[in-house]
Amino acid sequence: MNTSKLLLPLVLTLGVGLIGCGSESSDDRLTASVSAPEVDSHTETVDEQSGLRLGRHYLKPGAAVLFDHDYDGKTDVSEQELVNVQILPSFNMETLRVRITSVDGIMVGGDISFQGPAIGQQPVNIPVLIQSGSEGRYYLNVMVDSMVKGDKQSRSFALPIVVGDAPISTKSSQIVESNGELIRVMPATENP
Amino acid sequence: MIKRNSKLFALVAAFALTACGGGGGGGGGDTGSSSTSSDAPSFVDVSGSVTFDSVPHNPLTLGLDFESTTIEPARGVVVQAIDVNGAVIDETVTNGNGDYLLTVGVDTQVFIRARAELLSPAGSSSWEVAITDNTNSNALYVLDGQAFNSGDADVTRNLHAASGWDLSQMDYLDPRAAAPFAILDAIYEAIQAFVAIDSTIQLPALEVRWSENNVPTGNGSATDLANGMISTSFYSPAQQVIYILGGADQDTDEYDSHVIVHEWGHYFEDIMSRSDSLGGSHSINDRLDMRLAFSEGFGNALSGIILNDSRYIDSLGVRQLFGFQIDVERNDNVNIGWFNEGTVQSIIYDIFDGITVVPVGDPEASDEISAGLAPIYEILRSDEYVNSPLLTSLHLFLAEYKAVFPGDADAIDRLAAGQDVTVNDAIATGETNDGGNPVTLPVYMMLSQGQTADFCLINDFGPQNRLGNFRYILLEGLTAGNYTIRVDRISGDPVTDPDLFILQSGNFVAAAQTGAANTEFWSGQLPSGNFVLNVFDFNRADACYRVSFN
Repeated sequence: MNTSKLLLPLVLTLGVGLIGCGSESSDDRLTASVSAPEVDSHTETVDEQSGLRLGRHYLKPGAAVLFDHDYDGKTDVSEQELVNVQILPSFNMETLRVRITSVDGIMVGGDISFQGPAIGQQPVNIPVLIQSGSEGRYYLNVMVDSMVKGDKQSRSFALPIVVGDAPISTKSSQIVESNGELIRVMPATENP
Repeated sequence: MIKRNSKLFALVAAFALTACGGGGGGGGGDTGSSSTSSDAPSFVDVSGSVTFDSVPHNPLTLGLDFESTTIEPARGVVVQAIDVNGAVIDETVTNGNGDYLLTVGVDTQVFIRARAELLSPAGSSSWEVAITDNTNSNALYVLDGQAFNSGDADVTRNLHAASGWDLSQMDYLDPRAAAPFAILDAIYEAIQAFVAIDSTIQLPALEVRWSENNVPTGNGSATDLANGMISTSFYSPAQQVIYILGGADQDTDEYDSHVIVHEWGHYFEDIMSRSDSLGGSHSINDRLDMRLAFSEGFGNALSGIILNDSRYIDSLGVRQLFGFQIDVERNDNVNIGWFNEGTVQSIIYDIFDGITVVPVGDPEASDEISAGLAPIYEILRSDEYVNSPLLTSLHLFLAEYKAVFPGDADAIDRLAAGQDVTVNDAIATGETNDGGNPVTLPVYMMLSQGQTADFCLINDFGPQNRLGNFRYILLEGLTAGNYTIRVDRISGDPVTDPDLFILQSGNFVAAAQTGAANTEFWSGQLPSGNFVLNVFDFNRADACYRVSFN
């Protein structure tokens, strides 16, 4: 379904409404407005509650490749699962180098490297066998180097591998409230 | 944005009064007054410096070189003295050496806190930048010292933010306290460069979200961003927020100053000038939509300009050992043209930099300008550029540059020609570089009421934000009234889904995005003025169309 098209009237309406209100709706200033044609889901902020597209992302430069995979998002403890990692180059490259690693040791057979020329927009598919005996949230780290006219550019991707029911946990014990604001306290090395 | 501490504003006001010869007394880091007229002092000075670990790049691998870590001053950051009840007793901002001076009561139990926050001192220019943790409710990073009793004599307390890297274990084993201050330092450099050429510059508040949990994955959802899955370092114009990667062994950017300034450049362009960029993935070799190419090339060039180093370096990988560089001074780019960010960065950097003596035949031989940052700033801030009915692009920028600085016009033409760009005017009249597909020219088509025009869209160079994905049609001199626009497929891919967007000075004023196959129609009112009609195919079809305007 062409979701963005169905939502456009709502986006237009909300955009006008916000202009009329003259105030921000949240601390994030996630204001909706008439927006550009969609770029892709990875480079825009999208509010998953409303489906509203909240803005484009201006990214840092890197190797001219796109990343995709067929991981289903869940692996049972001790289950072996084959994941296909796909690198899609934008154009001819003298050399395309892909290194897939995991500091968590979930790759059966260890790290994987691929190196070869990139021809047009033909994808490079790399099968990766994963397995973990422990529940957890791990990453396959995918680093891509492209060589064009002798110059290297790189881009890093990560593929989260969820083994068992491991939740996302990013909360820090260093968070406190101070004078009405949330702060994250980092310890100083102090030299009196 | 973080909640501001009202006392800090009071302090800034106090500075202003002091500077004007009024006020006095109370807190004030730079007053130097630490005691009353009685014999026993009521107050003592607490002074010191705030520093952070700065990790350079290995010149060979371009990865981070932790063994060469240096200690750098945290410049322009907010420092507070806080008592046992958590109350802020005094506040100030570090100077260019990272030094601070606070005043507290005698025999008071306090600690010193450095906030990961830049704040302008009282004056004609202003800025405010905060580093927060998007994975922890956007909490502001602070660096806290140990509590101590102020006693009855002046005391020195130096705070240092360590990288957290363990050289023997080759891993981050301690809190990465230096990261927020390293990010701030790159932004401080950028701000100071612009303050130097515009002492009245007013930079709106900026929040930069960094976390060690920020990893290069995610689907763009607000939930993913809050969980650190940010895909990559980026600026969000809708939120006016920068996100920075911090995932160890994957991609960390806190010490990649060029990346920080590149993203700050997007903030600057968006807030202080104008950007019509679509955003999205890009590289210096891509043939891009011209709006994206200009924005990204500007960001790359600005990083070299601000940091006085033309090599944009980005580290990444296991133990942060790897990296790559883009030398924005180099002119031998691939796929050069008005649609290429490498071209844009080369031209902007060459406008800025000193003339280099080069061999005959070297592409750098076309660089005859050494103008510095000021004229680039002047163009980006000019009404003619910001309010142009055209879209932001290299042609628009260079045409305005030539108009404002006619003495440099010929040199600009030669600089542009070196990158296969022809700059006769802002709508790219006479441009002959089609990037390898003739349907991309002319850059703008002109359409008057009652006319039709044929054009093609392509995805040869990618389907999202690349050259040929959009057709720009200039609707000039419209009077206010009702208009209709219709687009119909006439050849090419059999199932297309054209969409229309009508822009005025880069702002979307109307759109038609129905899912109707092979056609699109818009009817409505337009005010008087000049507009750009933007046509895009939702199916990313390779097809040709006829547009009619009535």
